[in-house]
Amino acid sequence: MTNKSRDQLMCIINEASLAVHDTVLFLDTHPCDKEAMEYYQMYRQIRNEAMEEYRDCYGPLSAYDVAPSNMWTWINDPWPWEGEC
Amino acid sequence: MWVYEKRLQFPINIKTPNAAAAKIIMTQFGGPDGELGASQRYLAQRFAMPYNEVKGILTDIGTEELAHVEMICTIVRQLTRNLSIDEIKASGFDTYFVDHTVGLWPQSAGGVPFSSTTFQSKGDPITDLHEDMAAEQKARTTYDNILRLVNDPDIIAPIRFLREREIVHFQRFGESMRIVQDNLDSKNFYAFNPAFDK
Repeated sequence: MTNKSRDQLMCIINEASLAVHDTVLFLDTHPCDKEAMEYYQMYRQIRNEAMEEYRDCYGPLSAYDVAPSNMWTWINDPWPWEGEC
Repeated sequence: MWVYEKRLQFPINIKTPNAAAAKIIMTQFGGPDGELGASQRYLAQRFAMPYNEVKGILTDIGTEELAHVEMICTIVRQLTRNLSIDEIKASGFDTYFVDHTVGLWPQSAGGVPFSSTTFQSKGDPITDLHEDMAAEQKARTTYDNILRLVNDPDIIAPIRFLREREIVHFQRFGESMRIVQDNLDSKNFYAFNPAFDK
């Protein structure tokens, strides 16, 4: 379980995801840059941990990552465009 | 193949409806320099691209553009929910409302439907990358213009984020151009088309 609110965890996920994604683009055109590779691995780990914590406390962010339960939690609110994420 | 992640690339939480702003910002969904055209441009061009670095960049930027389509649609949605019919009439949004209510449909701010004629997939890496660099600058100018026209901080923050992404993409496409040229005849970049001749 977590001591972080849904908003706090989503904020960590969004920031880490942007760091990962921006580094993915950089690595596409600089595939031998060791410093960028280390940066990528560091933020990938932060992102993965936050995604798992979010899933366990507030529900899945991917239909491929739904925890066992009696309910199909993937379709639960909030959907991103509704102003809660 | 793609897998959806149930979050926005940048958070959007607009508290005040504004149909006039929605009509302007909608142009980055279906307009001539919008995110839908951007995603389809890069995801189409990659099939004829011979170099791995550039196959990667077209795939990953094209995918990010899909997330930008979602952000623009979210802004428009949040700006148009809870509008009264009087507000719709007074804002000039009535000409959109009559055809689409407050559903999302890709068109320019001037009402022109989305068209693939706004982008090219030429099957020539130098030509395609010049198009891509120009496209990022055109989108950046559109975001600059949107920032001149809106003053709600809830709208400005995500629009500024999208504007910054155009600049990052322009940089990556410039590096891609260098990679393509490094693979060509340095005395004549146009001696052959590496996507066709061999």
